[in-house]
Amino acid sequence: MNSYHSDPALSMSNSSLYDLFRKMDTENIVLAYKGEINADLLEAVYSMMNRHLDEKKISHDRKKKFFHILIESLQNVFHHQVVLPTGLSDINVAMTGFVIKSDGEDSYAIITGNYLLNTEIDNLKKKLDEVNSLSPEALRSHYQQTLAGNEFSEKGGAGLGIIEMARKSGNKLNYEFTSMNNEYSFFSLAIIIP
Amino acid sequence: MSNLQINDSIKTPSVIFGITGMLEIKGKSIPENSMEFYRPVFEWLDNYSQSPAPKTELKISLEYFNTSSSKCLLDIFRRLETINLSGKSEVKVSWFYDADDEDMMEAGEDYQALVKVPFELKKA
Repeated sequence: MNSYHSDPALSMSNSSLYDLFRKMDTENIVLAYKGEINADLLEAVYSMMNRHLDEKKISHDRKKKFFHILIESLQNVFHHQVVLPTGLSDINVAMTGFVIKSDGEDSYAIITGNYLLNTEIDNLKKKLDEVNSLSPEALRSHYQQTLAGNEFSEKGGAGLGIIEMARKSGNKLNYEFTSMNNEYSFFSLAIIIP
Repeated sequence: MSNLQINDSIKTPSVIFGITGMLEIKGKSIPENSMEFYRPVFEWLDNYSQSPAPKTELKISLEYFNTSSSKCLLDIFRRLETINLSGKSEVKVSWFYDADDEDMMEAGEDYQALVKVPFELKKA
């Protein structure tokens, strides 16, 4: 039987591993994940981050705010991850991912990424731009109106998650769409938790 | 009809709904699929609404909940509103929150503004 060492695709040198670790360290990356997001993974992430924030002695209020946003952003990706058709060779990477970064002190950023259909972009962009244009008071009434409305589906809450991320973080949501081909784009969303 | 009891879990609250009219929801509510979790709660309420106790009180104390649960909570309050309007039971909701938890107080106020059922905010 061949050992894995003989397969160059599976080998990783000590120095390239060290470079990866160092890069994560200098950029204060607390957690990075690429792959499918499922319920068990989310549970593990919540518990890892809970421990991390306790170790860093982050205050109760900040911790709560962080979790509110973490849950909404990761569940957003969970509900919207698409299964790409096989054979789409130009997009053969994992479907979704996220990075949790700190500033080395007590502020954090959560950045999520997922593929979506190009046909979904306009609607999502409209919701994000609207949320980014609203004052805290206007966000609250937008939340109430959306909650009372009937736009809900099995998949999601009509953009309630987006509203809550903006409300709780007190920040604009930074987003970007990168076109992959004429069917799919990659969507990234970054939320800074001050 | 019998009582409904659901134990809490890491992502879901405990639910104790008694045919005596004492209803309680307590804990965290952050499941990915809230509809699945709350379906038995809706079904119980729909049954209960046929012949409710003369008085019904829902005591709800949540540490926090996700937006996917927020719609389900509204649906619970809407069902209670209907029971109250039917005149079969005098219904009230007590929303408990930690004195220093502004988020949960605001969330309670948001529901208070949306449903027409006696809805009290109480510091726990």
